[in-house]
Amino acid sequence: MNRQTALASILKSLEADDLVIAIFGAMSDLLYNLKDRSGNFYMRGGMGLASSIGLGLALAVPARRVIVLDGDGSILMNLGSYATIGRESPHNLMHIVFDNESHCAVGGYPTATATNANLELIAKGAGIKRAITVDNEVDLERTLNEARASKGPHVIIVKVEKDASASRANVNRLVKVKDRFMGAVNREDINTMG
Amino acid sequence: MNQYANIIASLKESDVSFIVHIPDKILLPLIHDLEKDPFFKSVLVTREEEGVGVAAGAYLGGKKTALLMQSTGLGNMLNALTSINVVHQIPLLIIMSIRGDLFEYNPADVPLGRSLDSIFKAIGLPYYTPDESKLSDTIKGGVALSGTSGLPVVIGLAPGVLEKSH
Repeated sequence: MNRQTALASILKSLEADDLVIAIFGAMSDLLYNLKDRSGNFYMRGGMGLASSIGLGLALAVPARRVIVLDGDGSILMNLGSYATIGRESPHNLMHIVFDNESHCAVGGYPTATATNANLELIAKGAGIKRAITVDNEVDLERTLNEARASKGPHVIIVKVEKDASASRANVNRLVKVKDRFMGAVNREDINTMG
Repeated sequence: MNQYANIIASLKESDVSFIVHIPDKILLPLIHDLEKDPFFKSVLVTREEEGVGVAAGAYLGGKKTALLMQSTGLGNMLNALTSINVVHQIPLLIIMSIRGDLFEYNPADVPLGRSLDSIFKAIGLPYYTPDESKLSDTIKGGVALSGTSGLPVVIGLAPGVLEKSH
């Protein structure tokens, strides 16, 4: 599946109140270009930690759905996160991994998911019962619908094609990104200088 | 008041309710006490940088946060602190028991332990090592400073500080 198609499916299932955490690189750039919104938090660093930020957020705001747009290289840097998510088991967290089986953003060296590592099984082994791998649009849409109707945490591994093309989003005012996002958390328009 | 109760009272007074912790023998009694108190939500993480991420997420969700750890773990989380907290201005109180200082028994903890001041100076983070008489004020003041500056504030607990009462 093309990653842009996959992201479009996810965005279609998004509700206004949903909070989205996106990793640095293609996920942030694509998300920004396809659907910038105040409830998007664009990471520019913190490599590997998107799932952890999503976990903390999900625990802090249990009434809101938290969707993390992560990558295979990123979650492989922080597999302990699955152990923590399994233990805390936040019902409102959906961790979506765009798995292109490579470190596409930094030259394309194959990740362990290309050869041996099965992220769905790793998540299940960490106690996250609702973990699934999908490789086509129909299954992705069905999985997203099922996930919305059931309690999480959900882990969805989306197999996507390698795509090294970059359309850099102009997201550099990182304090503004945070302030706007926290405004969305509080359901208020924020334009704070305080 | 023992120092564990002192820390808990100071965190409460500062409305720090979301605690992330990495295993540490010195801070363990504090963690047990926090877990018994419904005011706090505490999360055990597997390593320090993961803890920085979880705390940052909780802050985005409106919580005031603290990270409890050993000082040697600082080496595991510098990039997370600088590329999340510093650039987005995400406050965080870090309380670390200091390893690699007086009476240290493990040589592996000494190089980082002896470099703490220089590391915090180099990355520009406020770092305090209060004795027991200043612990409460440093926690409350540190939370306030972290909020106004948008920087993580670090409190190092020297060996023995938690064993004293005042």
